[in-house]
Amino acid sequence: MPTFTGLRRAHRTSRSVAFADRFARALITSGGIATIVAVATVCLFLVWVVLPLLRSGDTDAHAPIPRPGTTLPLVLAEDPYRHLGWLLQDDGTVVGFTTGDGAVLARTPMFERASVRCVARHGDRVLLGRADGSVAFARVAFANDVTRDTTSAAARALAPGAVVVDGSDLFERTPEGQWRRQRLELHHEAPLALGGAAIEHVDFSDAPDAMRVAAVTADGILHLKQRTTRLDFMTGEEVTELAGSSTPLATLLPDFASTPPDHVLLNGTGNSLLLLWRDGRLVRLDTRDRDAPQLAETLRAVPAGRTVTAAAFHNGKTTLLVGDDQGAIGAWFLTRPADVATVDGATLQRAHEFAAGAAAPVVALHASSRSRLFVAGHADGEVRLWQATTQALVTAVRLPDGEPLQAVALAPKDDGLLVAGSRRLHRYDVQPGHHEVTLATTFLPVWYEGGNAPEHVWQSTGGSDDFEPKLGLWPLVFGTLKATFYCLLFGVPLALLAAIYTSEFLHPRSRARIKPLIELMASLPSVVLGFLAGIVFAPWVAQHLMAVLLAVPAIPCVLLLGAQVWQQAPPWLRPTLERLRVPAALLAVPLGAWLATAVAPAVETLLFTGDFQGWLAVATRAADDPARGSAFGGWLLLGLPLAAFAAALLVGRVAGGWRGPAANLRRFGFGAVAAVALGCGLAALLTAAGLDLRGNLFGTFDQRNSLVVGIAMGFAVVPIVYTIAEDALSAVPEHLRAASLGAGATPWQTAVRVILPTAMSGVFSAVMIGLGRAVGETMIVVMAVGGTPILDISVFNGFRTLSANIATELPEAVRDSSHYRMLYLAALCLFAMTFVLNTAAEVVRQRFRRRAFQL
Amino acid sequence: MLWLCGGALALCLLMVLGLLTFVAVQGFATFWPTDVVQLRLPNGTVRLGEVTRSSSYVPSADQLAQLAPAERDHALPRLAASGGVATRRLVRTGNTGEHFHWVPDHLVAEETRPPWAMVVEREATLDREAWGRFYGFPVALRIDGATVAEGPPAVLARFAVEHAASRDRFRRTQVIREHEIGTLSDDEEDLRLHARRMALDHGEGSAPHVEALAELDRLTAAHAARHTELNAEIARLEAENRRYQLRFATADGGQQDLFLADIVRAYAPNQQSFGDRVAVFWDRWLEFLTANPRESNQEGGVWPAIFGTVLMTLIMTLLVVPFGVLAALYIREYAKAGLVISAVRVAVNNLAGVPSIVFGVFGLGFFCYIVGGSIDALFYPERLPSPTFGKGALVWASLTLALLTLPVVIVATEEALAAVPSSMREGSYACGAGKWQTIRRIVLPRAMPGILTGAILAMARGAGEVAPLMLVGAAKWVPELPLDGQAPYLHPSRSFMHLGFHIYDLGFQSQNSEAAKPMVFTTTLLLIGVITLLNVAAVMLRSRLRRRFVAAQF
Repeated sequence: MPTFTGLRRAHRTSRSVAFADRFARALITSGGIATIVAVATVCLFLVWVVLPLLRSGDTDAHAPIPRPGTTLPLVLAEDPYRHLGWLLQDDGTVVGFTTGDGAVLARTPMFERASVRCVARHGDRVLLGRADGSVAFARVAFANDVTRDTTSAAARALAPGAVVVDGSDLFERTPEGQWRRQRLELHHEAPLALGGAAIEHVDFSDAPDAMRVAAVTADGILHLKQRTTRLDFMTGEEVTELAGSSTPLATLLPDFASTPPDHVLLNGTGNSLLLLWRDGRLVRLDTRDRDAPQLAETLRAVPAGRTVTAAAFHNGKTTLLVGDDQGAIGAWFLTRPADVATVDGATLQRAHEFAAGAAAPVVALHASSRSRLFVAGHADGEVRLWQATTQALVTAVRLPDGEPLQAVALAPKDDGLLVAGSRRLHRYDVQPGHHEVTLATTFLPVWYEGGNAPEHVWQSTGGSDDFEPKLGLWPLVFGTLKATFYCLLFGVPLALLAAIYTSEFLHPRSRARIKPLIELMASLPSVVLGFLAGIVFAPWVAQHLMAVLLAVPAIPCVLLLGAQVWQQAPPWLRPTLERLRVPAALLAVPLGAWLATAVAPAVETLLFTGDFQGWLAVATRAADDPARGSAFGGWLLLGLPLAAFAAALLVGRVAGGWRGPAANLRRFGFGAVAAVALGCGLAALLTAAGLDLRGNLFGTFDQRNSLVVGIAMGFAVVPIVYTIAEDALSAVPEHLRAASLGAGATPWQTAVRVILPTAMSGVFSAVMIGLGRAVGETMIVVMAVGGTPILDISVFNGFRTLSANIATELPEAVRDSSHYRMLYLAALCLFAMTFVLNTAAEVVRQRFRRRAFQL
Repeated sequence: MLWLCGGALALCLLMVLGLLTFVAVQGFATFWPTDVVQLRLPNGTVRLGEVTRSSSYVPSADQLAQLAPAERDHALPRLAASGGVATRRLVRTGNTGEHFHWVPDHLVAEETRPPWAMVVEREATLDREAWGRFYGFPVALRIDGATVAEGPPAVLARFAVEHAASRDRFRRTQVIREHEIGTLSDDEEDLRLHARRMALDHGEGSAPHVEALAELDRLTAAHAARHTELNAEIARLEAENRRYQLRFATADGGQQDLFLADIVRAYAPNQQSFGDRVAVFWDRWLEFLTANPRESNQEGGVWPAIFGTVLMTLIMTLLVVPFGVLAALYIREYAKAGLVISAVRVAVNNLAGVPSIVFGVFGLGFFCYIVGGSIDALFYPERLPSPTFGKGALVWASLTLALLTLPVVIVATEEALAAVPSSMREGSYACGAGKWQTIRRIVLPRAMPGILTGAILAMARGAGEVAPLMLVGAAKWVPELPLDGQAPYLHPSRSFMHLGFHIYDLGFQSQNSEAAKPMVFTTTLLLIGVITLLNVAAVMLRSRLRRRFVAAQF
C-alpha cells in the first residue's frame, strides 16, 4: 500500500527483543504480584492460626447401644481409650462393658442391695455408706498393660487400631504393633464402723496427706473422721482406722436439725463441709479441726422458688456445682474478701452461672478430671458441656426420641461423652476445641477459681498438674501501652525540639553532619540498647535515682539560665556566638546533670526522708511510722513541670510589658519564683487533701522499671521521630519562611507560628510512626524489664508487653495449643495496633505532601 | 525556648556519642592486659587479681558494725578521712569458688603489684575444675612430677617452649574427637537412617531393609577397629599432656599445679612493656574473631556467631533483593496507577512498621511448622519424630528476615525508579527501544545506586534484628557451622549462632554474668561496628547518587 510519505518501516522488531520484552513483562508482573501476595500472607496466616480459638466445641453421635443392666446407675465411667465403660447400679453390681457394642465383660456384685445406703466416688475410689453404720472403701479401675506379644489367639489376629474382647479382657492392637490389654479390676476394703445408725450420706476428701471421711447417719449425727493406715507390728498387716469426732447435727445447727440434708459434700482439703438441702439451704461447716466442727455460714444455693436437683464438686473439689429444677447451674467456691466475718475468714460465693434458655431439671453432673469442663444432664435428655471458668456453653446434644436421662460421664481425656438414658447408652465423640478461651475472657476480667473477684490475669504456665491457664490479654496490652506512654513521654519532646532546632536554626553545613549521626542511632540494634539498659543503665539508675529524676528539671533550668547569661553578651558578639549555641548547649547538659547530682542528697534528705526508695515503699510501713514521710515531695516532683508551664504563661501575661535594662533577667527571675511557688502550692494542696501518689503512680521501686525502659526505648524512638519530623519541617517551602521573616517576625516566631503549623501533619505522622515502633519493640523490653504481667501504672516497676511475652513464651508453647494460638492472637493484636498507627500516619503524611505541594 | 530546642538536640547528640563511646571504651578495654594487684586485708585475707571496675557508696552503720574489731580500727579513720564515702573495687580473683570479690578501699591494709604475679586463662581440658581465670606466682615447671625449672624467669622460659607442644597435642585430640570420630559416627548414622527409610518404604523385614541392615552391620564392624585406634590415640595424647604441669603459688599461701594443656594463655602483666601488652591485646582480639567460644560462651571467640550472622544476612540479601526489585518494578513500571496500587503502596509502607516479632511469629508457624513439617514428612520420614526442617533453621531465619526487610528494599527501589526522569524513558522509547530494553539499559543502571542503598539498609536491619531469630533458628551454641566441608556443604536445616542473639544470651541467660560482661561488650562493639559500616556505606552511596542526579540536570 503506498504511504503518503513514501517511507516504509524498514526493520521488524527482532524476535529475540520482542520475546525478551514479553518474558520480562510476564516475569515482573507475576513476581511482583507474588511478592505482594506473600507479604499479605503474613496477616492472613496469623488470622488463620487464631480463628480456631473462636470455634465452639463439636460432637459426633455414635449409634446407641443397649443398656447393660436396667436399674438406676449410681456411677458411670469410661476408660481413657474409650473402649470400655463400667457402671455401678443401685442393686450393687458393677458392670463392665465395651462401649462399641455394649457387650458385657464382667458383672460383679459389689454389695448387697439392702446393705448400702449411699455411695461417694472420686476418681477410681468409691466409698460406700452402709445400713449397719459402717463405711467401706473400694477401688474400681481399668487395669491396662501393653505387651509386645500376647497369648490370646483372637488378639493375635488383630489389625493395628482394632479391638477385640477375649473373656473378660479387651485387647487393642496399637499402631506400633503392640497389644494393650484392659480389664476391669475391683478391690474391696473391710468396712470400718462409724456408729449404730444407717449412713444416709457420705463423702470423703482425697488430700495427699490425710484422707478425711464425712458421714451423716439416719439419727442425725455427723461423723468427721480421718483415715489412717499403719502397720501392725504384731501381725505385720496394714490396719486402717478412722479417728475423729461424732457430733449431732442438732447441736451444730439448731434450725435445720429437723430435716436431714440431701447432699453432704466435703471439699478437697477437708476444711469445709457443705450440707445442702433440696429447698436450697446451704450450710458450710468449718472442719479445719476435725474434732470440733463449727458452723461457718448459712446461704441459699438456688434462688427462691427453685429446688436443688443435683450437686457435685468440680475437679479438685474446690468449686461446687449446684443444678436446680429449672435447668440452671451455679458454681460456688470459697473466696476470702477483706470484710468477711465467718470463723475461717472465707465465704462461699456464687461466682458463675450456667443457664441457656429454659431447660428441664438438672439430674446429673460430671466434671472433667483434667480441665474446667463439666457436663450437665437434664431430665429431658438434653446434655450440655460447660466451661466452668469462662461460663461458655461448649456444646450441647439431646438424646434421640426424647429418652429420659439418668447419668452422664465425660471421658477422662475430655474427648467423649457417655450418657445413660433410661433404655440405652449413648456415646458421643466430643471436640471441645479451645474452650478455655472466648473473646470475652481474652479482654474482660474473668473470675478464676479461688479469686475474690473477676480480674485480668495472664499466667500461661503453672507448677501443678491441675493448674488452670489464665489467658487474659489485657495485662499485656496494658504493659504495651504503658511502655509506649513512658517512652513517648521521654522521646517525643526531645525528638521534636531537636528537629525544630535542626531544621530552623542550624547552619546547613552542621545539619548535614549532625543528621546522619542521629540517624545512625536509628540503626542501632535494639538488642544492644536492651543489653545496655538492663546491665548498665538499670543498676546505675537504681543507685542515682534521685539525681536522674532531678535531672529532668535541672537540665532545662541550666539551659534557661545559660540563655539569660547569653543575652547579656554585647550586640557585636552575637553573630559569632550564634554559631556556638549547640556546643554551648552540649556543655550545659552535663552541667545540668552535675547540678542534679549535687543537689540530689540534699533534696532527698529534705523531701524524701533521706531515702527515696524507702520513701516509695510506703506499703511496707505502718501509718504512724515517721520514716513514712509525706507525699509533698512526690507531688512537687510531678507538679514542677506543670507549674513551670503555668509560670511561662503567667510571665507572658503579667511581665510581658516590662521594659528596662534587665527586663529579660527580671522576667526570668519572676517566672522562676512563680514556678517554684506554684509547684509548692499545688503539692501542698494535694498533700493536704490527703492524696498520695505513692502506691499508684510512684510504686515500690524495682530495679528493672518503666523509667529505665522509657529512656532506653527513647533511644530507639528519638531518631525515627526526629528524622521524619525534620524532613517534614524542612519540606515547608522557603517562601513562607522568607515572608514571615520579612514581615518582621523573629526566627523563633516564624518557626512556631508559621513553619510548625504548616508541617503539623508531617510532625504528627512522625509521632505516629514513633508510636508504632515503640509498640512493637521487643528486645529492649525483654532485657530491661523483669516482665511480670501486672496492671500497675507506677513509673518504678515493670510490666510485660505483648512483644516480650511472645518472645519469651512462644518457643516453649506447645504447637496448636490454646496458649500457642493466644500468642498468635497477641501477635495479631500487635499487627493490628501498628497497622492502624502506620495507616493513620501514612494518610496524614499523604495529605501533608499534597498541601506542601500546593503551597 | 530556643535554648530548650538547642538543648534537646545537644542531648540527642550526647546520647548517641555517649553510647558509642561507652561501648567502644568498654569493648576495647576488655582485652587490654591490666596490672595484677595484691590487696592484703586487715583480717589476713589476700586478694590477688585484676580490678574490673570500682564504685563509691556510703557504708551503712550495720555494715560497719559487722566488721571485726581489727577491721573496724583500720577502716573507721580511713572512712572518716574520705568523709564517710567509701570506694570499692571489684577484683577478679579467679581460681576457685567465687571468681569476683568487692574490696572496699578502707579495708585494704597493703596494696602491691607483685612483679611475677601471673594471669592464666584456663580451659577445662584435662582438669574439669580448671575453669576461668587463675592468678598466682609461678614456682616450678614439672614433668612427670620432677621439677625441671625453678624460679619465675626459668619457669617462664621453659613454659614458652613446652606450652605450644602441649596445646598442639590438645588440639589434635579435639580434631580426632570432633572430626575423625564424628565422620565415622555420621557415616553410621547415615546408614541407620537409610535402613529406617527402607523399612518405611518397603516394610519391616523386606529385602532392601535386610540388606541395609546388613550393610550397617558391616560398616559398624569395620569402624570398630578405627574407633579403638582413635580412642587409643586420644588416650596417648592426654597421657602425654598429663606429664606437664606448672606449679603456682597462690595468694592465700597454697600451691596449685596446672596442666600446661589447660592453659590457653599466661602472662605476667606487671612485667610487661607496652609492646608486650599490645601483643596480648592483639592475640586476644585474634582469638575473639577466629576461635570458637569456650567456658559456656564466656571466653574464647565468637567466630561461629560472626559466620552465622554473615551467612544468614547474605542468604537473606540474595532472597530479598531480587524479589524486592521485582515488586518495585511491577508497582512502578508495569502496574496501572490506580486505587489498588496506591493501596498496595500504603500496605508496603505499613509493613515496614510492623514489629519484627510478628514476622518471627509468622516464620515459626508458617516456615518452621508448616513448610518445614511438610518437607520432613515428604523427604525425611526416617528421621521423625526428631525434626530436620520442622524447627528453627538457617533457611527459615533467612526467609523470615527477607520478608521483614522486603518493604525496605521495595520502598528504596521505588524511590530510585521514580527518581529516574521520565524524559529519559521517553527518549529511549523514541529511539525505538522496547519496554524491557529501556528498563534494562536506561532505568535500572541509573536506579542501581538507590537499589544498592536499599539492599545495604536491608542488610543492616537484618543483621541487627534479634527478636524474630529467637523464634526461628538462632541458638546459643551450635557445634557445627552451617557451611562446612561435608556434602552438601551448605546445611540450611541447621541452627546457627548470631551475634545479636549471643549478646542476649550472654547478658541475660548466663549464670556468671560478671564474667560474661566483657565478652558482651566486645560482641556489642563488633555488632555495632558491622552495622555502622553498612550504614555508612549506604549513606555514601546515597550521596553519590544525589551528586549524579545534580550533574544530570545540566
